[in-house]
Amino acid sequence: MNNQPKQRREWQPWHFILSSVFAGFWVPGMMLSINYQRVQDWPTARKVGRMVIWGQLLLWLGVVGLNRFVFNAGPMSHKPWTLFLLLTNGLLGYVLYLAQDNLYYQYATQFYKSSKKEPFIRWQLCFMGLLGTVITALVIGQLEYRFF
Amino acid sequence: MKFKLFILFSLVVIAIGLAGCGGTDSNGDPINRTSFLVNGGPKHQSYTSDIGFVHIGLPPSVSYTQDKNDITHNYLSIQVPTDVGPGKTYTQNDSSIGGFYVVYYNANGVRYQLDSTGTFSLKVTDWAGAGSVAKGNFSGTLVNESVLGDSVQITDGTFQAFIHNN
Repeated sequence: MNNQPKQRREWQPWHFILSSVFAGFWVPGMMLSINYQRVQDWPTARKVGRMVIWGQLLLWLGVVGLNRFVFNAGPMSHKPWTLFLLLTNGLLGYVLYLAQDNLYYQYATQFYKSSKKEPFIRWQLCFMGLLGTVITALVIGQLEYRFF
Repeated sequence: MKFKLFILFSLVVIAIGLAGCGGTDSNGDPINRTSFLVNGGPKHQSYTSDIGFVHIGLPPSVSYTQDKNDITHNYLSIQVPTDVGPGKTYTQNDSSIGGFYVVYYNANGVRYQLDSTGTFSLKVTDWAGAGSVAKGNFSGTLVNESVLGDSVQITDGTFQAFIHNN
């Protein structure tokens, strides 16, 4: 039995590149989704949102597969973290999708109906998209750095 | 006297607020509403909007639904360019995602939109800016761009909606 503590892997350039690709995948998808939201074509915005989420999940599978089977990084005991990362990614994607699609529509509707002030919807949309991208990049980057 | 004036003023403010947020007009009809015939009938599609014209993108847009809890069926969205004003007419040639844009989802959720292969015209009859109620009419062909040859004829279309600042 090897009782020595596990060595944390050094940060490698390809970690950063994959993280960037992963985080960057949100940008075109969300911009497309926001374009449809701008014209209040909510059904299409929702469809694009779903495509982004599924596309990103597939991308994540590719990243994890590449990491494990091509670069041979990390022992099999890291499998739970792989699952955790996938779930985190899915959760983040889903939350962002809800935030910028249906929930946002409901929120905007309620806001207009109940508030004396009128919301600056387009800036809120941009802010949410930007915030989502940054948070995703930070969280996934940190997780990759620590556990892969 | 001041108190009565205050009450009167409050009632006016509330009435204006209700009018701008999915209220009804003097006939009891929703202020934000649209009505149109699809492929000639048999009866008009009548949708309403909770909000009215808003500026999610820079150009103002409005979305109407038959059932406000369902935004994927029986749904119509209209966006007019920023140069909108009374008497302006827009056609399929003005179509762009940052300008004139019309999309319609039928009861099955099939999407039809402006397309260069179908003529469509929307005329704005009333537009006095934020705080007013926009009105207009429209008719023409909307195309399902996913299925070749699938389109719907929209006739006798009318719309009206409160215009918000943002």
